[in-house]
Amino acid sequence: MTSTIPEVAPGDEVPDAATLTQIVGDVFTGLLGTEVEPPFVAPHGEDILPVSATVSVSGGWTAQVVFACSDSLARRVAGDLLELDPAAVSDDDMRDVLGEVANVIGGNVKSIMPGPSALSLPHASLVGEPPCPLDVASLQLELAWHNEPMRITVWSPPETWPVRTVNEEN
Amino acid sequence: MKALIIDDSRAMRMLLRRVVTGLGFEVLEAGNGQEALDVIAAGELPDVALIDWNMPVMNGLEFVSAMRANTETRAVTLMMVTTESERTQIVRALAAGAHEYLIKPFTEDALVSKLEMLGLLPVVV
Repeated sequence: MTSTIPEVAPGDEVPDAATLTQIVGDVFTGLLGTEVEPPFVAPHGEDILPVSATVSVSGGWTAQVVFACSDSLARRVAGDLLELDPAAVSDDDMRDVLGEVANVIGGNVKSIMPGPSALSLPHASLVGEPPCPLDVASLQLELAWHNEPMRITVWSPPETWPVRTVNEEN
Repeated sequence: MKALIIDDSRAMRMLLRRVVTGLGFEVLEAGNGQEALDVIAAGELPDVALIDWNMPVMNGLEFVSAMRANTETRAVTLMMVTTESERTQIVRALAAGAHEYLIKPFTEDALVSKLEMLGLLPVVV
């Protein structure tokens, strides 16, 4: 499904926002059959993305790819994939589904970056758990699914690389 | 026809199960390559195995190599179903003995097409 996405030239640390948006869109359409939406506007000061899953890439390209979202988005995605009522979704279900979403996004990002590289198993963090320790954010993408917020972040050296936060409005 | 789905994600196994069950396959499941070998050793030899790459204990590439090294399992059709989509990795998997390669995320049509190409489904024209 992502075969039309161009590879990133050697020397570029991260894909561009349009490419990452296309990858995330392909993943959600492929796994869940529905497309992602423009960014969710969060109430001021509210931590709306308390759950996340991280995969690490090492080799020709070194990075971490993080999928973070609201608790209710994670429950809804898990419920859809596992055919459960979101209220019946367990922590293990959430870890499984969040990890697989991060795995598929990370693997597809890795495929367009200079390689060869290896992809780690995913690490998921739920509400109240410390997230996987990270380096420096290189690209953040804010999107939504069924009006629930999500953020996809690519963290990659060099450490001085500036953070670019993008959404479909800019 | 019997399909063995090998993936450490229960959600992905369920997604694949929905599709292949709808195509008339009997479905077996395993959470990694070693579990899959255990299923086969218990007497459940599948016609096709759908194999994730990155799994704990035994990954998909190791499973493919083990299947090809055993005369009793050498005839099983092996399809990688994975997010690993670098050309070098596709080549490694095919060289190890995988017959087909499907990249996640995939559509149902893409999976059906691969199964048709492998002769596991009648080709619809």
